[in-house]
Amino acid sequence: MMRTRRSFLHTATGVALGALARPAAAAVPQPGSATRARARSLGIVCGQLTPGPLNAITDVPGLRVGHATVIRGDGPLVEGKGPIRTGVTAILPHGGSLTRDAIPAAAFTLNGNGEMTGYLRVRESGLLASPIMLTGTFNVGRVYDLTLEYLLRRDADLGASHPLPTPLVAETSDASLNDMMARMIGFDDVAAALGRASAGPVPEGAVGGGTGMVAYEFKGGIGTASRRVHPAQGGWTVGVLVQANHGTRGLLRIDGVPVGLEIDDLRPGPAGPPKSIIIVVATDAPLLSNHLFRLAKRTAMGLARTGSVSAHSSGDIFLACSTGNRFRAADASPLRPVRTVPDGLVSALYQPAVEATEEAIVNALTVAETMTGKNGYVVHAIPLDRLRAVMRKYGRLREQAR
Amino acid sequence: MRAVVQGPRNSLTDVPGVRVAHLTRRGRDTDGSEVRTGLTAIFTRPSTAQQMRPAAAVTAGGMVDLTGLCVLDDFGFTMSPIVATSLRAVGRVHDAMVVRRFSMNLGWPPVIAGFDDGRLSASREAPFTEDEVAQALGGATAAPVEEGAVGAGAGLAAFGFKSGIGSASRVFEAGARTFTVGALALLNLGRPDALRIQGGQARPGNGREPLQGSALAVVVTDAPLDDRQCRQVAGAALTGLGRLGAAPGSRDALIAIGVSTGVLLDRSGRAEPSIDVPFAPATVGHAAAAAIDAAEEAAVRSLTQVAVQDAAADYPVFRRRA
Repeated sequence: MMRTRRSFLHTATGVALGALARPAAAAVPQPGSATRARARSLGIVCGQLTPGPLNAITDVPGLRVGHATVIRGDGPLVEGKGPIRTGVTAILPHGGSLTRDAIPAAAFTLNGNGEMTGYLRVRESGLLASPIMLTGTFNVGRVYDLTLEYLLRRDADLGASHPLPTPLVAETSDASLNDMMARMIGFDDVAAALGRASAGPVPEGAVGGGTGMVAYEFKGGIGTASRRVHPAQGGWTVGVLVQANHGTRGLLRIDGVPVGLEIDDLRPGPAGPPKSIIIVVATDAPLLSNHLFRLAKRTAMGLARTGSVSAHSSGDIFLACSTGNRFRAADASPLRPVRTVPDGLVSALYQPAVEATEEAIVNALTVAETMTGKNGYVVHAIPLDRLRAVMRKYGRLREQAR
Repeated sequence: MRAVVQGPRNSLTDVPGVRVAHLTRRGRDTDGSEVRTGLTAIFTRPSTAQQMRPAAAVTAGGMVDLTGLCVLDDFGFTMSPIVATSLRAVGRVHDAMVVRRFSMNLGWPPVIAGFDDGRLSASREAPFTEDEVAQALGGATAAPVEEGAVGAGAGLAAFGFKSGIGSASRVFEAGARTFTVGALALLNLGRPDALRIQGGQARPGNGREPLQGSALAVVVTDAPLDDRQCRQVAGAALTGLGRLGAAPGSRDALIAIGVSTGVLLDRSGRAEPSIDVPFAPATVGHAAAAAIDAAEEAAVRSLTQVAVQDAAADYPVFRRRA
C-alpha cells in the first residue's frame, strides 16, 4: 500500500519510538548467513523510472565490467602481509579498442580529497581513452602501473607511434578492513579484471575495488543500477556504477526513509571521518563533454538522496562518459563529424542519473555481506529483514515488487 | 620599487626551504632498448611537519597526466612534493610515494606530472624500483638546481632540440620586504619552427615532436600567497612558457603549478596565527611579473643548459648564436 506524502512525513515523527521498540534479538547476523539481495527485489524502489533489463551499468550497450577480489588471511594486522581485503574493478567503457578509441567524457569533483588519475586528460580533451579502474587508496600506483603494462603488452605501437594511455584509476580507502600497506594487487589481478570483463549482470557488494569498503557504517562496496530515458526523449539508457565507501550512519536515507536513524546499531568500531564515493555514469545518448560534465554533477543529487553531505575528508569524484560517439584517439583529421542531442534534451537524462545513483548505492549496501577484516574488525551488512520492516513502517515497501 | 632582478643563484632553490632531487637513468633496459629517463622532485615544505602549502595548478590542453589534481583544485593546497617523471613511471612513482607516505612524510595525494619521453627512451619497462624512488626523494638538496638532461629532463625534447631541466629566480621588493620567485621548467613539446627566444625566431632543430607534448613550469615563492594568488602566479608562468612558443593543443599540454612557502597550513586547513596577511592584489602583480620572467628564463635554460654530450640523434643541443 502506498501512503501519501503527508502520512509519510507524519510517520517520520515516530522514529525514536521505533528505534526503542526494536527487539534486541535481531542485532547480530552471522557473517554469510543472510541471503543478500538487490534493493528492487526487496521491494525497495528508488524513484519512478524504469530500469534497463539488468538494472546495471552494463545495460549501456558495449560497456563491460570485471572484478578481481583479493581476500587473504585473518586476525591481527602484520603490516605488509595482511589481512587483505581489497581488489580492483575494471570498467571497459565501450566496445572498441581500449587504447585506440576514445569516447566523450567529463569528470567532476564534488569534494576533492581523493584521486582519479587521468583526470587532467579527460578535463582537457573531453575524451576518455582508458579503461576505468576502481581500487583501494594505496593501490592506485600499482594499478596504474599494471594497467599500463597490460595495455602495452597488447599493443606494440603504444608509446612508439601511438600515444601512451593515461590510465584512469580512482580510489576510495579500504583502510579499516584491509592492510593497505601491502598493496596486494598483482598483474594477474589487473589482467583478470580487464580480461574477464563482462556485459552481463554485475557482481555487487564486497567485490573488486569495493571489497574493503564501508558505507554509512555498514558494509559497502560496488553497486550499480540503470534507467531508461522515455522513448519520446530518445529512449536512451543511463547506467551508474559506484564504489561506495562514504557516509555517516545517522544520515542514511533510502527512498526518503531515515533508515540510519531506525537502524542505529550494528556499527563497526571507531569509524573515523566520513570517506569517499566514486561514481561512474555512462549513457548511450550521444552527449558531448560539456553535457557529460553537467550529467556528472547530477549524480551528486542521487548521492545526496542517500544522506551524504560530502565531507572534507571525502574524495567524491565522478566520471561521466557516452558511447554515442567513438573516435580514433589519434585521429588528426581537421574536422570530424559528431552526433549529439539538442542541449535541452540533456535534462531528460538527469532524473535517470539521479535515480540510478541512489539505487546503485542502495544495491551496494543490500548486496554486501558482513565482513571481518584486519584485527578482527567487523563491518556488518545492513540487515535486510529490519530494512524491509523500516521501509514498510514508512509506507515505502513495495510488497508486490518482491 | 626596484625592477625585478635575478636571485643570488638564479635558481629555484633561491627560495628559502625549497629542495630538489633528481634521479637520472641512462643506459639499456633488459631488452637492450635505450633508456633516457628520470625523476625530479621539488619539496616546498620541511619534512618534519604535517603541514601543507597553498598551491594551485593551471593547465591548458594535452594528453599527459597530473596526479593529485583533485586536491589541488578543490582544497588549494598540497602536502606532496611536486614530482616530474616519465609517463611510463607515474604508477611506479605513485606507488613508491604512497608506501613511503608516512615514513618520509610525503603527504597525500602525490602530485606527479608525467612526461612522454618515448622519442628518446625506447624502453617499455617501468624504469625505477620503489627503493630507487625513495632513495632519490631522500636526497633532495637546497643546492642550486642541476640543469640540463638530468632527472625528469633526461629524455625530453623540445622544438627539435634536446631539452631538459632549467631553473631561474627573481627577487622583488614589496612592502619594504624582499621576496623571491623561483622557477623550474621542463619542455617537451613544439615543432622546430615554433621556437622563439626573446621574441626572435631561433634556428630550427630537426627532431620530431613528442607524441604527447607537454611543458611544466613550477613556480615557488616565499611571498605569502593564498591559493587563488598561487593560481594567478601559475597563470603568469604559463605565459612565460608562451614566450618561447609553447602552445597547448589536443596533444600538447601546458601545466604550471604555483606554490607559496610564505604560508604554512596545518592539517585542519586553518592558517597558523603567525602567517602574513596575503598580498593585496596589486602586489600579487609583482609576484606574477617575476613569475613570467623566471618561468621564461627557466624554460630557455632547459634548452641552453643541456650538455653537448647529451645530444641525441636528430636532437642537437640548442645554443644561442654569439
